[in-house]
Amino acid sequence: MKEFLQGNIAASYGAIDGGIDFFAGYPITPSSEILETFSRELPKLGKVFLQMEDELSSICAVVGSSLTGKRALTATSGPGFSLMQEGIGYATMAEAPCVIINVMRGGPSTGLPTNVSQGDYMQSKWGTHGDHPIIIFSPKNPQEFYWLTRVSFDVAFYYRNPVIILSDESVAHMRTEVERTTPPYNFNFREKEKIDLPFSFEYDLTTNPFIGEGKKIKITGLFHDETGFPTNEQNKVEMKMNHLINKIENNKGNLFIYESEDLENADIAFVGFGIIGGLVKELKRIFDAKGIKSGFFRPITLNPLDENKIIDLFKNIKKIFIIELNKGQLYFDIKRIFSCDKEINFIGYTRGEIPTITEVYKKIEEFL
Amino acid sequence: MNWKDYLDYSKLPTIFCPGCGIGIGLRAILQSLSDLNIKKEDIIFVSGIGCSSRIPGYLDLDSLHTLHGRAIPFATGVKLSYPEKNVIVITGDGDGLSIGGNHMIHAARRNISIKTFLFNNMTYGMTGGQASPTTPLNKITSTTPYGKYDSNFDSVELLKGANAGFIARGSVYHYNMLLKIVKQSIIYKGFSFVEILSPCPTYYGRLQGFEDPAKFFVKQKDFVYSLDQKDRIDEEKKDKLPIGIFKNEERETFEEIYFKIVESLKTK
Repeated sequence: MKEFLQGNIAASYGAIDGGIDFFAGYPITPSSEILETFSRELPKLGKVFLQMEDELSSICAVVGSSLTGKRALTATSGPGFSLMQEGIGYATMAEAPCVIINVMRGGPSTGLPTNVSQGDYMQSKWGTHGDHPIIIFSPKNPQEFYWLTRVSFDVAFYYRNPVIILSDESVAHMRTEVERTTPPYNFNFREKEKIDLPFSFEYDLTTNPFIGEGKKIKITGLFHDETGFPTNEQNKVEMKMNHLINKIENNKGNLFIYESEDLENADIAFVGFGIIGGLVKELKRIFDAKGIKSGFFRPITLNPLDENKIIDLFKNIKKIFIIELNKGQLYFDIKRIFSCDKEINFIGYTRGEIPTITEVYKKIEEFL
Repeated sequence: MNWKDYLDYSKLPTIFCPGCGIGIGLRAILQSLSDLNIKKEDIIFVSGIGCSSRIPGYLDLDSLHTLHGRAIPFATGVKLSYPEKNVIVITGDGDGLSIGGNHMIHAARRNISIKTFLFNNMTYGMTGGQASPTTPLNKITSTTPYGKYDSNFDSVELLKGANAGFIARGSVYHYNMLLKIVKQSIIYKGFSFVEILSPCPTYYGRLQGFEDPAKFFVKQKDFVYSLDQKDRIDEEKKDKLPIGIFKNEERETFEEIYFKIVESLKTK
């Protein structure tokens, strides 16, 4: 059954259909509808809804709950996302399977609370200090916002890692038809090794006990051994760090999902993520009609990026146009992947709105 | 169960300095759990960052050692995921009253059943003896070489203002009294707050000129007065901290109210 839903509400329903047990959050534009939807729906389902005193406590309550094995989620926007970084770092170290929705608005600082931006791409990847693993998905419309939020718990629990849903003001406030159906993604989940200790360095992915199950486990944000007890023994520290990075790096192929069209036969490719996904698809159609062979590419997984897969997809492409609502953040990653062997052009908009297709078209023509 | 059974002997010795008061405070907590016959699997310890926050690592039960100042929000998430378990927070004066002060008052206001033990050593011991929000005015610390410029918090008054239902202060010098306080706080239904005065001879004591931890320990006796000693004249109470139970009044907890609403929605 199709429903006419706002993106934020669709995401909330996605979390509910994904089995959410626990929500803690703090009001912030443009993500507040998620907080409001859960305040209405979760008590009815016998699940926990908490409005906390700030974003620091929201993320910590969510991580605490997720370490008891509950499906816990919080939602915020730029300034709140900045405050949550310490909690996200803890979640990566403690291998807490929680979900964070960040509805991007204009930044830096308080910035543009009610307008769209894609300025938090890099912050989602590198916002918390130290080397750390992170999984990021970015939806292009309310339907995808629903699907990705719904599947995010499974991904978080499978990888024992926080998952960030990087949405934006436009996807969040747009109202479209949404179907509450099973997410159409295949992440290749397999049977995992069962372990009695809270952590394992031997295997990338394991099923470990949670707090409260009576297994008497310790968890800390300090570097620790497999029993969860703090250590600064160099070999154990290195094993832990390698484990954190490898569990995501070694599974890039399974985690990396994307949308693309005609890249193998085209000369030029349009690239964008999230809300720009529709725009790059439309650009491809316009340039095709003009007789210029083109394709488009939209990564849905923003981290980890499967670099080899991207190199393979773009092997026939000569020119790349990256369109973003920031000053060049996905652009930075794409340039890193291709070094110098392709012409890569960046077109960015940071005035707080999505440009018209005509405006972008004219800009691209200048490059051709 | 004996109090020693709560300890994880494989992780000993502790990192606490010789002469530190944390061990005595921990003993009071474990003795209370033992006296009340609370099973290990019914307890979850949550702590922040600081000397006392290292306690959970030495216990043979489920524990979370979290971020600086954030033990209470983590504990909030744990408690509402396991409402039937005893969730115990270990924090310090820097952890619980400075960086985590806001979480403390909101947890008190909310009245989620978290049992909070705040070890007050009046300094940041883990980082080298800097001034904390409970360091008294004029005292020398490693960041107040000319004497502390600003006044200290009275945690009891702060928690009263936040409407906590159980508020108490004890001292590790007065162990028997501390034990009674801790036990009462564990029985209490709702958010309970116990400040445990615990000397740090390595930094705070040394910087106040105490060469000997034992002498600094004994000093605690002159530093406090018991709430029960009502006949003391005001002059004797001046510049001293009262110890005892300041408030012990039950009110409906957050979980009770929340799950009552959940039940009422089911019948609709």
